[in-house]
Amino acid sequence: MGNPYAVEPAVITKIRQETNETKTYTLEFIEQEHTLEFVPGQFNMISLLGIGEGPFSITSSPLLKDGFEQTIRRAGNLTSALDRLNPGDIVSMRGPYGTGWPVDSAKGKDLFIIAGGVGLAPLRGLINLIVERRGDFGAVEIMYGSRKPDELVFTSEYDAWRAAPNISLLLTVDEVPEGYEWPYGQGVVTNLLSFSKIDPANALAFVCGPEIMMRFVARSLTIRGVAEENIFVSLERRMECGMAKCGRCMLGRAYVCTNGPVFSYPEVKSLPQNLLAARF
Amino acid sequence: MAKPMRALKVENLDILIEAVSHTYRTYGPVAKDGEHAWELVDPDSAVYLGCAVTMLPAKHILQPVRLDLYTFTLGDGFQIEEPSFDERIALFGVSPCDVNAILALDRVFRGKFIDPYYWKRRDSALIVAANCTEVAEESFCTSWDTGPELHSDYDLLITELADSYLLEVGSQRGNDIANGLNLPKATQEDLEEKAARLDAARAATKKKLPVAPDDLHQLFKDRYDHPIWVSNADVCFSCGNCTFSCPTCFCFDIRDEIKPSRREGVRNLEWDSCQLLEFAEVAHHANFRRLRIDRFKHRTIHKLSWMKQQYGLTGCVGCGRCVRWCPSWPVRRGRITSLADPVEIIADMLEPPEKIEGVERPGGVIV
Repeated sequence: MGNPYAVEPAVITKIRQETNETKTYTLEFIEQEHTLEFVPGQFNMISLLGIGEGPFSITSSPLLKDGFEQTIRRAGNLTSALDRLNPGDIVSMRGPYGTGWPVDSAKGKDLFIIAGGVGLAPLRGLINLIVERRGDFGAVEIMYGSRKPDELVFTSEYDAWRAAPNISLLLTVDEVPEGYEWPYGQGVVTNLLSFSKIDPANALAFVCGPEIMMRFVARSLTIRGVAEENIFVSLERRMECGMAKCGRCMLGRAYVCTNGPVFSYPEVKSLPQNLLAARF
Repeated sequence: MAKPMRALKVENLDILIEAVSHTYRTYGPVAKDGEHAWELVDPDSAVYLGCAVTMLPAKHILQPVRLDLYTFTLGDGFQIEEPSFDERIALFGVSPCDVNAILALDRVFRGKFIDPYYWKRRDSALIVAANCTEVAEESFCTSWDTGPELHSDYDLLITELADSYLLEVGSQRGNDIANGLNLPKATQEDLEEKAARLDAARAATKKKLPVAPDDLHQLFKDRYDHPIWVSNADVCFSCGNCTFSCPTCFCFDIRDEIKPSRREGVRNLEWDSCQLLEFAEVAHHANFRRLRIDRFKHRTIHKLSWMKQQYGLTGCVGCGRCVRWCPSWPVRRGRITSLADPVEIIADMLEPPEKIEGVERPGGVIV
């Protein structure tokens, strides 16, 4: 019987600074044969032995050769320690875990991809998959909001996303520092929906960001005519195991780690103790 | 109802404990500090077969309070080494409710991911269960049909009779133990005495759920915003006793310890509780269950309804441990009651919401 708690070494091959607090790490398993099979939206448990372990979204496209990517914001003990690592350093890993975005049901459909802050991370692999397999999907509208312009992540890829046929990228920030050149919108991300051109009746929506943001995005999408069952959100919770054992991420009858983190809107609405709940 | 392979009679427990402990590392409930606790036992131990309501159920033997997942050595990369486990454990004198709780834990630690640490111990474990010929005043096992009589899932099952013990054999492992003892067969009178004693225990169990178990799901759904949750949560100490003492609670933390050399360390698992403030906390002190009322509701409804939805088995077996070990005893319906008592909480839910008073909280929300 294999031990699902056991970790494997993965080496950092590349680090890209996204913002002051956020970096994207390219990782490869040291064991040559081992590649990571995953669906965008799934997560890995990444740890530094002696410091701790935590769940992190896989942010690369499954089509990426040579490893996979994780985008991590410096916030607590573990992420601060990860922030100090360099290419060549080794982390320990187990995964992937959880549900991914329903990529297959998105084929042939128009897509809303709506993110707030570092919530773009679990969606970035999906966007890159769409760019590479452009013919498989309909029109795509990416709407992304962050607090400040310098907190936007994956900025180096925006040109490539925009250059792909029939993908639009709309940006907004809460506040623009004085003297900062900001050619895009200002305000909450739901404002961007008024620029939408796709037919809500034939669209799926994938949403990730702070819960309060997802609550209003999901409502706005419903008002526009997107069916509730076509809206998907990704939740964040504390996790120790990722395998429905430790109980940390439990939300009513659901485990965010195995029943999620990607849930349909009706599903998450029926669960207690989250801001998208019908009542909480 | 599984039929026992054989029914035997044993004059005293010593020879049985001796036979079991010959092959198994044997634990049982014994008197300790005015209460009972699960400890290592030997033939001289006075194993208590009554309804002990021990502070900790036997789960800490199958899922230790703290266990090493693996040790690690850091260097150029890292090596991990899992601890070996080759013991055989016997749980001697497990009450029917606790056997049912173990069956629930079995489902938690199975599923898509099989927990090897739990199952190494569980697979090794000989379950010597003991029917309860008396039921503690905190217990309400009859409401769930998790006691006082066990119908299956034991290796050996003891029932105390007037001057001896009935020993029923439920598995080959149990049979191996019994074979070595050369015990006489039980008579029809012995089996009738067992039935009469357990009927008497059932009849003497006064504490009962005020609704049928199948109706709990709808009750909690309908009364999720009942104002009594607020006044109950206000007198909860958020101490975690109800969960640590619960035989079906399984939540844990995983943490790393590293030696001063920073080259070696251990990753271990330790019991945790959803009632503690930090349980759902993430970076930047964001906390998904910061409010005490959310934690109180989570524990209560998970035990009484959600766990059934997740695993198909009740998360409450009516053992009465949370009732006994909760330190908060508010007055409800004119009586002093244990705050954590599921029977009282369900009775609270049945009160018309408009009749509940005293939920104004000038101090604000309690975390």
